Amino acid sequence: MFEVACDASIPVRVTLNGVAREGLASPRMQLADFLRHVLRAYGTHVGCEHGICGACTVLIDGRAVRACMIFAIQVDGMDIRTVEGLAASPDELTALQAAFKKHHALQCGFCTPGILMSCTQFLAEHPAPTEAEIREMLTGHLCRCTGYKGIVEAIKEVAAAKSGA
Amino acid sequence: MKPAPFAYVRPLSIAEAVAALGEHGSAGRIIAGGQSLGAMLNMRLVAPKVLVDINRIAGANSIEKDRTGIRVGATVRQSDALRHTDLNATPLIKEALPHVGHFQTRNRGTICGSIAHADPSAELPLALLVSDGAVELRSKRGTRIVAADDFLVSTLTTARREDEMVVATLWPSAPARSGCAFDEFAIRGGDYAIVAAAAQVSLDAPGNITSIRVGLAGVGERPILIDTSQLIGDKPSDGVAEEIMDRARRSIEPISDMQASAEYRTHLAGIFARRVFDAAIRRAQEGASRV
Repeated sequence: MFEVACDASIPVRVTLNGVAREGLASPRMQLADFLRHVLRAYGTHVGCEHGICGACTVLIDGRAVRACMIFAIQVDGMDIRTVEGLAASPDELTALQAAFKKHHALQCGFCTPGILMSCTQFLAEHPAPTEAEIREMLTGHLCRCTGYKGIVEAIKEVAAAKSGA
Repeated sequence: MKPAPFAYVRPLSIAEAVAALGEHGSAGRIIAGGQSLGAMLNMRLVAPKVLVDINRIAGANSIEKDRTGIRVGATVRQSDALRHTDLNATPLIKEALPHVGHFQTRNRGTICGSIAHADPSAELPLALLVSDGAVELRSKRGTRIVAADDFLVSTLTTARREDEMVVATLWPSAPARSGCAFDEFAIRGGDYAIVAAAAQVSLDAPGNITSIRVGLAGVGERPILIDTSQLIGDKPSDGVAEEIMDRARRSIEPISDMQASAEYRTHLAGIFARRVFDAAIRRAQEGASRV
């Protein structure tokens, strides 16, 4: 059986935004901290650390998951996508990011990386979502700046453009 | 916050997992989806010496169906269960699942983990109780099946012994001419319920009640069933629904907390018990459960 002592650090290998990465993690290191402090990928934000605020949401094997509620050691060998992996280059925006900018769907931007990752899975599975479905998806994220209206508008616009409406 | 240090073991079979539990006893703790345990670890409400990660056990994420019902394995994710067509035979679980957390936590959280965790406000323990389901426990000593009503003891406390693993939950198929419903009141979508209610009813050909189970969560230390035995044989009516509402309110002694007063919880318990009863009857009369 695979066992790691509490004071040991072991190599964890992931594919981060399409690139093979490796770093050391002790058993209790959250994935969110591994991304930020070990792999130096600061796009993923850490808020409440108990699964409520949604700021740290990343895609693990394509699914939106809280990076504060899973340990780095658990995702060894998995595919991780974060906000850094959405646009093709740092000076470009995806359609969703551009729509967020246009509709003022962020102000301080702390919650935005997590919301964008949830939207990525959500829009892949719901190409033509209703506003109720969008708002249901957003219950998993806290935004204290926008009142969510701009976020909903941005998601609706991108979905409509993609589904050819 | 960050968790207190723990050692990590990753069994690849149920036999290895129960061996690890047998070795570490109360110092060991199973992690499946970790959507409750992760928060408790981070807040240091629990500090196990050893975390037993069952997520890579082959086959533990399977859903099996036979004539009596379905068996949901230890690591079946809530989001996978919601999509699984075999669960149409046990519709109450599908009615309850959209109320469990958020889609981001359902992606990781498991059915069995929520039931093993036994939060008194949680939806899935209530759904299992009202479905008359059971929990399959395994240790080095063997396997035993414990009915939901016996498994759910109190707040975060179950009949599971410290060397036992919840390997599956068992959900009986709904009989013909039956209907079920689940509803809850929460401040925000995805929050724990202030009051949750579930109902499962079946009718005979003339439309009289042949079986009825109505339960509540969020109103005590564990989910409860309302005593409805005297309503068997009755024809569903406004009078019967009002009787359910009264019985719901009389079966509980909720506490007051920052979320709601005891009086308000008692009020909601009546409203939601009646609401799920009416919806379950309507679906039974329509001949098929929604889903």
